Amino acid sequence: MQQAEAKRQEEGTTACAFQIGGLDAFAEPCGALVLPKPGLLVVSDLHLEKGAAFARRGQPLPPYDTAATLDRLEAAARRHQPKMIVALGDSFHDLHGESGLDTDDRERLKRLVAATGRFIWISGNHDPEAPQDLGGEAHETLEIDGLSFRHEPTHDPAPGSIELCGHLHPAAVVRMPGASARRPCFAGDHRRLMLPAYGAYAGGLSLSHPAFDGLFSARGFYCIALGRSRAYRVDPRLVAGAPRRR
Amino acid sequence: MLLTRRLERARAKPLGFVASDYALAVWGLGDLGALFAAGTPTLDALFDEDMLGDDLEAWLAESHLLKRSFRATALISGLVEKRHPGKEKTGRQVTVSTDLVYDVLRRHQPDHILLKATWQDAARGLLDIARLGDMLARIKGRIRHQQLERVSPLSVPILLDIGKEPIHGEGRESVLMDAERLLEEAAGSGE
Repeated sequence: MQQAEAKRQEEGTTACAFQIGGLDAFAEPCGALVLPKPGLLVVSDLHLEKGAAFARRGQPLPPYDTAATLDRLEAAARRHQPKMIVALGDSFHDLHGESGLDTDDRERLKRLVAATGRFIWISGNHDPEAPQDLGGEAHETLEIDGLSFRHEPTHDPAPGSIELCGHLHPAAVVRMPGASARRPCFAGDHRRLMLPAYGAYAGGLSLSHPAFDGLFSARGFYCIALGRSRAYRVDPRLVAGAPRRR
Repeated sequence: MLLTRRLERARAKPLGFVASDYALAVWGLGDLGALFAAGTPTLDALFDEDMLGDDLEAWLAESHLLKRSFRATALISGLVEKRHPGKEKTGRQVTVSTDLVYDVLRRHQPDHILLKATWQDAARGLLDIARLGDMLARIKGRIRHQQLERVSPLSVPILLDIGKEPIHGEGRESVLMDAERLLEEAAGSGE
């Protein structure tokens, strides 16, 4: 992982270091979460083949989103050489996603899965069934080292473990006097961490949206916004929709 | 905006601009008045004709203006549908931003017909290099810098349009940077 640090500086991006359940963690500006100790790379909501899914419904979006998302995922895997990659659900935009992959993308994805010790597909609402022949393991939820991986956040995470989830595509609207910025973000508190969407066409939902109501508590709340080449841990007081202490 | 790109290089952290037939407004996080007064850069340097030689294409390609024009092109081609307030969602409606599509297309199929159309629209409607060159030559050495105590009456109409054309550059990035610094300060003071 020392190498990863050097490599990252080479590419001119800076991750944000923090702790999660006593483990060192890095939030990458590309939207991936890296846990060097167990050797984990976590991404969420890849939404592969979203362009193709729209095309099938009569809306011909350009189909290069899958390649663009894979470019970034491969780059992150190269940097960190993780023992395990976890995709937190909605990896494919719909059930036709896997069969619709073009040969190039399919081969790349297979190679990546094969080159990684364990590749975990957590199922999401867009992809309730695991990919058939890409390799890797499929799980609804998974527990590792006091971390609980799942797609949708639960309203009452089990005590004693930290929930890692995605689903909502969190984005932070950061307001400063005179200017504001809107960026995809990691959002977490003492019992949960939600990852931003990794997919090229996935977009984001502001933390002030009602979908986030009651999910995060002010206790230990933090928000890491993705900049162009750095991830910033921003002051929650400036983030629209961040939970407040009563 | 070529000007804001230069201002960005001068570390003035521009956040946006509005231009009309009569006026041009740029706002930013840096103190533009102080920068001009100190001559870093001077207004004359800022409006120098050589800006037309500045990586014009690279600038255009990443500019928000072009993304906006792409949105119009995407609408006309039927790639996306416009949302109207109150109208029922049809399910066909796209929930993908044309900005994201633009970025992906530009990387993977730069010669796509919609990008070509966008480029042509932009070249005709937004940019007339020859006229711009004439104008810059005409105003050279004739720019006066005046810091005002208050908003001038003639600037009011353009001030009302502030926010129209945001720039996603260092200014936005510094919002995040400041938000991070504030958190560190709060933590440092034992809050």
